[in-house]
Formats: sequence, C-alpha cells, structure tokens
Amino acid sequence: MRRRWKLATAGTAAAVVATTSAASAAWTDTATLDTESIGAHQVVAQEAPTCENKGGLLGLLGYAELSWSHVDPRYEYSWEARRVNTGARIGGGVVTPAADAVAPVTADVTPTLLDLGGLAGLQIDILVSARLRGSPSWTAPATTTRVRSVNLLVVGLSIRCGAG
Amino acid sequence: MMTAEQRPRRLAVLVWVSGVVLMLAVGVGGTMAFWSDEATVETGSLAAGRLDVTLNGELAGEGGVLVDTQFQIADLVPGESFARVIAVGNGGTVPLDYTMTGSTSGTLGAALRWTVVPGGSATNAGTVAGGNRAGSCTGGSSTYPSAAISGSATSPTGVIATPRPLAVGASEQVCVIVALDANAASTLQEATATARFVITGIQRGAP
Repeated sequence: MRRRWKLATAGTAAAVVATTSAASAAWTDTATLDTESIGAHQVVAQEAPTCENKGGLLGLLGYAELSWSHVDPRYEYSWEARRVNTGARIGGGVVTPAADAVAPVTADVTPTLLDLGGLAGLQIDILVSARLRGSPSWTAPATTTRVRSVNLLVVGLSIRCGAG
Repeated sequence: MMTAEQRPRRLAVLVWVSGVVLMLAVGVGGTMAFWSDEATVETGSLAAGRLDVTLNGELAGEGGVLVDTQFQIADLVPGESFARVIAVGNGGTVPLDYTMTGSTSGTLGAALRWTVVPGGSATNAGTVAGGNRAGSCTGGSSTYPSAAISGSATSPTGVIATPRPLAVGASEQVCVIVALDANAASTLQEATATARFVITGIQRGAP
C-alpha cells in the first residue's frame, strides 16, 4: 500500500512538471540597431602668430602686435607670457574674436600687461592657444612667439618683437 | 431403477437437448450484432502564428542587425546633442510586448548622455559653426532621461525596461537623443563611439 502511494505521488509530480514546462515556452524575437560613428571635435591650433612692432614713437608706448588667422568660429584664444630664463608667468589674456571673423585675430602685448619688474632686456615667450568658447579646457597645443623688453628713448620700457 | 432399454433413449434425448441448446446459443449470438456507423470531419489548414520585431521597416523574419546610417554625428563639442527616431514595428501575426537595451563601444562612450522617449518625434537644430547643435524629442514620455549607458554589450542598460505593447501591424517611434556631456574631459578630443540598441519582443501574455 505504501509502495503504491509512493509510485502514485511520483507519477503525479512528473505529470505536473511536464505540464508546467510545456505551458511556459513563449515566443520571442530580437532586432538590433547599430549606430554609425559618434565623434568629438578636436581643437586645431592656429599657425604661429606673426609679430609687428607698434608704437614707440612720438611718445607712444612701444608694444608687440601678434596676429594670426581665426581657425574656427567656435574658438577663442588664450595667451600667456613667460620669462624665458625662469619660465615664470608674467602676464596673459584671452582674445575672443567675432565668431565669423574674417580678419586676422590680434593680441597686443604691451608692457602694462606684463610684470617686467622694471627690467629691460628680458626675453619673453608669448604662448597662444586656441580653445573652445564654451569649454575652455578643450585647447589645442600652443604656438610660441619670442618678444623682449627694451628701454626706448623717451618712451621708456617697451616690448619689441624677436629676441633682439 | 433404469432398465437397459431406457438408458440409450435417455442418452439420445440428452444429446438432442444439448444440440438444441447449442444451436440456440449460436443463433442468439448472431442476433447480438449492434448497429454502428462512422462519419469523418476534416479541418482546414492549421498554421502557427509568427512573432516578428522590425526596425525602421526592416529586419522581417527572425533576429537581424540593422546599421542605421543616419544615426551618426561628428565634431561634437561638449554640450551638443543629436536626436534620431527608431521605428519599432510588429511585423508578425501575434501581438507582442517589447523592451529595449542599449550599450556603447569606444572611448567617447562614457561621456555620452542618452535620452530615450518612446512615442516621441525627433528635431535637430543649431549649426556646427555655432557649436550649438541640439537634438530634442517632442511628445512621448521618457523612459531613460539623459544618462550614460553601459559600455558592455554583454551587460547592456535597460532603456525601455517596462514592456510596451504593439498590436499586429503597429509600430511605435522611439526618439533617442545622444549628447556629449558639457563637462567632458579635454582628453576626449577626437574620440569616437558607436551604440547598439537591442529590441526584444515577447508574445503578449507570456509570464
């Protein structure tokens, strides 16, 4: 009697399992979509600025005018001045041209913008970097232009292009 | 007491009675046949249904991968975005429910932010020169609001996790926006990524 009960139980369980397995199979289908490339911009450096001496005559302060082509309407340009012998930063600024600027971008490096310590004969590197207007950390490698501090007659301490 | 003459006669009677009984039995058996008849019914054709998810009207049949050549954008600056619609369709003969997962591949993937809006339509504005391209979804209801998705195809992110119904022949626009995070690191300049979206359809009512 006990043996018949065990057999009946096993049979019932098997039937339940078989029935449950058959009822749980569900139809499925998958479809996959791949995008094409999503890419980020790379900030492009401007060419090395040209340098032109300005002022220094008729009592006007002498300064160096750097100019270069506007690379991209999304850019602005930061510049900084560093003493060649120590690497110390002695000045800087940001130039933000009109987005659609066609004319060259210019930066006037005047002695009033630099911490010269009253010294003439300093060799100074001007580093110019292009960067995104809304994301200033996105920059291009800098270009370097050499200028120097000089004492001009009458005018006094001035900035001139080149190493002298 | 039975005489010698009476014994053969009684035996004959017995045999005769037995024979009669036997004949009756056979005869009764012959009259015991029941009436019967048979009739046949034939069905029409029995065919199984078909569950089929399509994308942008393509991928009829089981499975498949569609490369959406319109879903691409280059030269992103931080904060810019792009929107695109994926049309999810039921090309089968049975109603289904669908879900969607997403994953990215490539260095830029971690800095991308995704928004998924079932039922939305896509709009793109702005210009490259302005650095202000902006994609948006109109209508619908977002199921995944502006967040990164998995960088692993084997462990994708559920971007439509709650199953959405699709009747036979129906389709639903799923608007997807991809944005470059406004604080993306400068080291990601010129980096790229692609994305993969897997849409799974299951028969309506399945557990």
